[in-house]
Amino acid sequence: MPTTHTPIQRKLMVIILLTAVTALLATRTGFFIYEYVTFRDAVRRQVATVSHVIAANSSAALAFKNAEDANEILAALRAETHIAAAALYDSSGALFARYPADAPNNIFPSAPGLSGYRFEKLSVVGFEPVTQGDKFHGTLYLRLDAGVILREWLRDSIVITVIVIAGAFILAYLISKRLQKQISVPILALAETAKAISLRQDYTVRVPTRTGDELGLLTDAFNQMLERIHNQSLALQERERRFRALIEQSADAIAVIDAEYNFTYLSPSISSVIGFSAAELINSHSIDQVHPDDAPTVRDTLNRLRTEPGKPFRLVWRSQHKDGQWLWLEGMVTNLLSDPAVKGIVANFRDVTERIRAEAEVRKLNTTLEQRVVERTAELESVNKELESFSYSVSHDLRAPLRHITGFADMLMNRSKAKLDETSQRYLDIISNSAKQMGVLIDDLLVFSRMGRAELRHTQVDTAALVDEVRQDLATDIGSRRITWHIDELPIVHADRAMLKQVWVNLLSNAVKYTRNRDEAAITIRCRENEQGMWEFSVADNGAGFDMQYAGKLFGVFQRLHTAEEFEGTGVGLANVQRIIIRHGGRVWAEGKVDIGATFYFTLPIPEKSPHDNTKTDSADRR
Amino acid sequence: MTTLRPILLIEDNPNDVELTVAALKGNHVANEIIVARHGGEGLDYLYGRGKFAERPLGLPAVVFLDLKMPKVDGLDVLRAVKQDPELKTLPVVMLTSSREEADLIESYKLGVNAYVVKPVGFEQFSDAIRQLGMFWAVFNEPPPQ
Repeated sequence: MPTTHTPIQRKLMVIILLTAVTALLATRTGFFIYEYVTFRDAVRRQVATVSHVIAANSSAALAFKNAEDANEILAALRAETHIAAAALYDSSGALFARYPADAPNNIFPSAPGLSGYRFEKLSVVGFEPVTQGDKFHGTLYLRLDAGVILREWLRDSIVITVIVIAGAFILAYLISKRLQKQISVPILALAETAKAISLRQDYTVRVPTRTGDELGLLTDAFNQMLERIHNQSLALQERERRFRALIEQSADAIAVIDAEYNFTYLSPSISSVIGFSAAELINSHSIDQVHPDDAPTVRDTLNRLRTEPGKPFRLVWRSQHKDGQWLWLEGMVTNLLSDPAVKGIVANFRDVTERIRAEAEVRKLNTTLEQRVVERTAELESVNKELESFSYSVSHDLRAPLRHITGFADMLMNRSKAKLDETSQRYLDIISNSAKQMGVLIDDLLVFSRMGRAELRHTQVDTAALVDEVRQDLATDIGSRRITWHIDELPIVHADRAMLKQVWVNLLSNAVKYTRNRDEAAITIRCRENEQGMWEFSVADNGAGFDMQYAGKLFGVFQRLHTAEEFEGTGVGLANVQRIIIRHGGRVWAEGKVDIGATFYFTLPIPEKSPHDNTKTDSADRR
Repeated sequence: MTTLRPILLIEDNPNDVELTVAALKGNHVANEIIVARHGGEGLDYLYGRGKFAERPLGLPAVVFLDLKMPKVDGLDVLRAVKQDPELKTLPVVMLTSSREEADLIESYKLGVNAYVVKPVGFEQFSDAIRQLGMFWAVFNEPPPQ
């Protein structure tokens, strides 16, 4: 019987042969039954014919009760070899003659039965009335043994059947062998191609199409499928090549480890990172590559990321380069074990030794720097304390003798004015004035030193009010002079009021002082928000001005661009201005031209917008 | 007020003592001027002890107090005066060369009645002393004894 493993060719063959033989057998069986029925009929008819003849022949013997004749007539049945027994019964039903003559009584029926012949087992048995005209003389009994005839007939029939079936079988085999090729050859070609493809992974092979039937369609479909697979595999290869190139050309090393933390993939760049090639490390345990001190952390992180698939973890650890050097590596590690495309934990990492070293260096430097700052601050604080006590002594101890000089010189003058000549009086005046001048210098110096040290107390300062106040303080200096003031709208600023006042006092008193030789003095105070988002104030005058090449000296302590005879002063005022403005986070500078005038500028930061800052809105329009 | 109360000047520098006294006298301040040469002596006078044990009873109209003195300095004296319930109503004027902020703040915290920086110029100095003398010793009504 064909099984699922039998080749299709044999399957087809067996199916065809089985079908042919079965059909033939069925036909033959029907035929056989028909023949058998016909055969039996013929036998019965033959017996009836014989019995008819015998009955006709024996009517006389029965009519005359001549048993000898009757037995002779029956003995003629010897020619009929198949007749097993025959008997004649007289009209009363008693056995009259028998064949064979020596047969015992018990093989014959004791009395004649109904006329007609029938099969009894393998015999044909029957009775025939013996009559002459209408006169009934007796009954003939005949028994034919059909077994032998039946056997002969059966033998012939079987022989014929076998011969026919064998012939048909051979014929069917020969025909099917030719015809099944039309089906099996294209299928086998498909099978062969499929096998070749699965073995060689070559999707460019095509199966030749030979027929236009369903097999042809199947082959076409198969070829189309191959075409599509070929295209898809080309696209896949292209993609794979691209990703591989991305991975392999990446400066970062990429490693994939399995659930036991063994390397299953390492990108070629691994060798540029830690010296070992991918082949040297593959299948080795990843933790073995980690510095013993870092191994617990790395293992912890790996265990932790197992519980959070897909989440990248940052990891920094040390690994030993092939040359023995320890490297700092930093990377992102992601659990993609459940991703069917990866089935691993992916780490991409790089050498950050230089960075870590630099960071350590920076940290060390910072610590040193902080230490240094602490030391310097302490030093500065102690220097500052010294300075304070110094200025305290200056303020107290230096001024006292000056006061004594002026005091006693004045008292001497009062007491002895009449006795002293003019020169002596002038000498006493010089002594007194010089001492006073020194007192002013000391006072200015003390202010200057205080400006540098005193803490800033920031408040909202209304510049317009402050400028007004300063102008009033200067009223005595101005006296009857004619000065034209141009003053912009001025903002409220965030500053130490006392210190800012010093700035305005210095700038405005300078402007007043250096314009005193002008018949028509003009002082202009402006304010604008500059490009750096700061208030920029300026005080311009049309006074003596200065040579720009000395502009750098303007703000130095004790630096003066005019002699005391031209314009009095100690050279501390502008130094103070600079000090105060710088402490407020601003900048100060000046422009000037000899005999034309000078403009002093300073800036102050604008604090974050607050309700107080809305005062200066239209200054730009006024300019 | 029948008799003028004295002015107590606590000043260690003899030049300053002489200038101050000259300025007061030159400006016709008639009050007696008692000079203590350091803080301790000043307190001795106020408490009527030491070399001042025999002095007549009564407190001065005003104390002119120098800030910087050896041993017991001006701030010590001021502190002692203002912490003593008997003395704390006594007017004390700091008369000093120092404009140091710390000194100013400390003095006012302790309850000083005035703080005057001695000008360098004698005329201004003399003027300042005159005004102080006139105000505190003549016009100002001292607390009742």
